Amino acid sequence: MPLDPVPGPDGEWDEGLAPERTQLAWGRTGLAVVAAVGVLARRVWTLHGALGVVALVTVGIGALIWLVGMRESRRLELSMEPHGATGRHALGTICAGTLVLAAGGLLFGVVVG
Amino acid sequence: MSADPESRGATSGHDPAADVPTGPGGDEPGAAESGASPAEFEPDVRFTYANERTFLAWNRTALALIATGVAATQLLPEFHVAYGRRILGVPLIALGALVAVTSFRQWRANERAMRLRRPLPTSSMTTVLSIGIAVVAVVAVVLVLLGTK
Repeated sequence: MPLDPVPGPDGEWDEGLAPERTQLAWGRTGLAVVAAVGVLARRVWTLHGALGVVALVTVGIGALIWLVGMRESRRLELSMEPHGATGRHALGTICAGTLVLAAGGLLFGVVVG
Repeated sequence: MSADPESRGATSGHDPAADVPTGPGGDEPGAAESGASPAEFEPDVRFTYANERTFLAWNRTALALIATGVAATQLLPEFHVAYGRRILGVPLIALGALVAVTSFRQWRANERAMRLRRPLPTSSMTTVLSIGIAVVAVVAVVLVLLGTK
């Protein structure tokens, strides 16, 4: 499979609208995080006592990890000229955030019942 | 697109030596001109972006599966079948966690393959996701037909 970049009129690689599409994808993903955290928070909000605190902290940590990952990705995309190659740590962080939210969902949506 | 067994192995196999060329040095600006290592190339930026969007799309899928799983256990009326809501919700959340992990592994494997100008590794996650959702759908139909309390 040829992977040679196509040079634009000025000899640079033509990015087309790839950065814009990627930015929109980040926006969609941000909305998905808000929705997922909202569903979890709706469940967690009704828990009381120590369990409620643990549940809130878990969901909060998941949301926080996502926030950190997304900010890091944004910083990398702005700083890395001319390419927007996002570092593996930022995407790995995001992946960890999803896993924490999944663990919270399993724990408080299912185990607690 | 070739689907030779070697490229498939790049997805699941974890070769520490293959991690070295894609270190921080390869991500530096100007790596394409100077050449970070003899075997490594800066990939076309459009493919880098596309790889990232694919990762994000898989993560949205994972988040949707998790949210749906939690909503199924909490918001649905109780089924006549014991633990019906959990039977529906737990696989969705577990599938979401699996998708999140594999999305990152796939992104990393794709990035490495592009830098080394190898064929992109194949992934069986599309099959797993399709079958998983189909199974959950069948279970949901059975639960609904048996009725709610």
